[in-house]
Amino acid sequence: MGPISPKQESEFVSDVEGLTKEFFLPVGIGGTEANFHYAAKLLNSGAEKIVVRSALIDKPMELAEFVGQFGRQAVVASLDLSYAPESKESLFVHFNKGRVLPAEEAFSFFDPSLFGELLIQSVTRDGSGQGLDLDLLQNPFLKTIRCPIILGGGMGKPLHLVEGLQQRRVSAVATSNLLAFFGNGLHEARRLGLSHGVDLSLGNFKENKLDCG
Amino acid sequence: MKSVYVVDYGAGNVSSICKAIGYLGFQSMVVENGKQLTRAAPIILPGVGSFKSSVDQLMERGFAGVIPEVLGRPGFSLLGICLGLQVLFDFGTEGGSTRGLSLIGGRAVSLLAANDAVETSLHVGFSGVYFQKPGVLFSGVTTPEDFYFSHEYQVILDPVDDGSLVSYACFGKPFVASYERDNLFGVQFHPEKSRSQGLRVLRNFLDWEPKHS
Repeated sequence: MGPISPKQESEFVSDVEGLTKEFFLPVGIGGTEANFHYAAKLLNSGAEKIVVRSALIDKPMELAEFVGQFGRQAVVASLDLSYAPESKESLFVHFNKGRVLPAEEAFSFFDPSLFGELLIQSVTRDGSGQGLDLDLLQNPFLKTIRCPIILGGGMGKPLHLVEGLQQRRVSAVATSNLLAFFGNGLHEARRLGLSHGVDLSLGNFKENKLDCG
Repeated sequence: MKSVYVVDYGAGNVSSICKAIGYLGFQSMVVENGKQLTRAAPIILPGVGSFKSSVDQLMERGFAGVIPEVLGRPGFSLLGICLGLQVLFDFGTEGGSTRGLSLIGGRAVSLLAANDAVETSLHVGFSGVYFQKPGVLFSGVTTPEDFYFSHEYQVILDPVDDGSLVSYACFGKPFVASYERDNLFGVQFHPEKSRSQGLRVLRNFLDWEPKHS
């Protein structure tokens, strides 16, 4: 998504204000071209963190200033990754405006001091329900990252959550499939995770609704 | 409706705190200068960002001198949240050694420096908090219960036994998750982002009445 208008910014800030009035869980927001004044408004409206992608290579100075003010725990770096069609040896990183860079080149721009968490999403597996791409964790650059990693893209059944969280380097998994299309999927996934010894927040479940109040 | 001071010194998500306070049925009074702490009420000191810049702001806005003074008066109490807890200590090592408010003996040190059992420098996510006695903060809360943490630094008490009641969470090794002594309270986690159990901790603090001498 490209830049949004001041009116859209104002409306969304208002939406965040409304959401966080009775929602007492951390909220991360991404999805538009980085505008750090807008990001600051979002954080001051109740969001905890912003999710950045192209800003990692396009706006490192502004991002550094933002981190200086809010701390790096307020920034989640998002990597959308895919393999070359012919080989899993070649990994690519997707940015805005259709830009795709070889992973080695993209990673050379990244400054790990500018983010507190790393969200890795498999473009190939996203929406497929075929499971998380655990091989992504073997990338040499990702192995050097010393911050929590969130793995996403491809979760289709509760077992996939368990498989992801059993990886030593993975602190969390990301899904919308389990929430959007499978009714009680998230609840079942948590139950399965706990039964497999995964360290999960217990949560309070009332009629398939997470109790946040 | 009982009123609560929320200190705005440019280093915290005041909005989130105020929303949680409002949800619990209390009136928040955002104060930007120490002179505004006039009548007896609970004080919440939030904190996100760096130790040094936070202490600088507390001094510039007149809180550094006033907070220790008002805590000696009947009817006042204080809850430091996350960095708000850390600045209550003698020193912080973030960005060099910086003097804190010295309301609690000890220092704030980086998680990596204090703990060779972890690979990541940022502790973010829900972790169980363990206590032997619930004290004021955890009245009605089971142990362990999960709370939301987002920090790179932890506090270390010196002396270890200063008559306070502490709880612990684990990030490789145990670290102090909460502190309470007389009318001074602090939590390393974010109760305003820790669902119903976090709101319970917040309510316990807000409901507590200091003993009048």
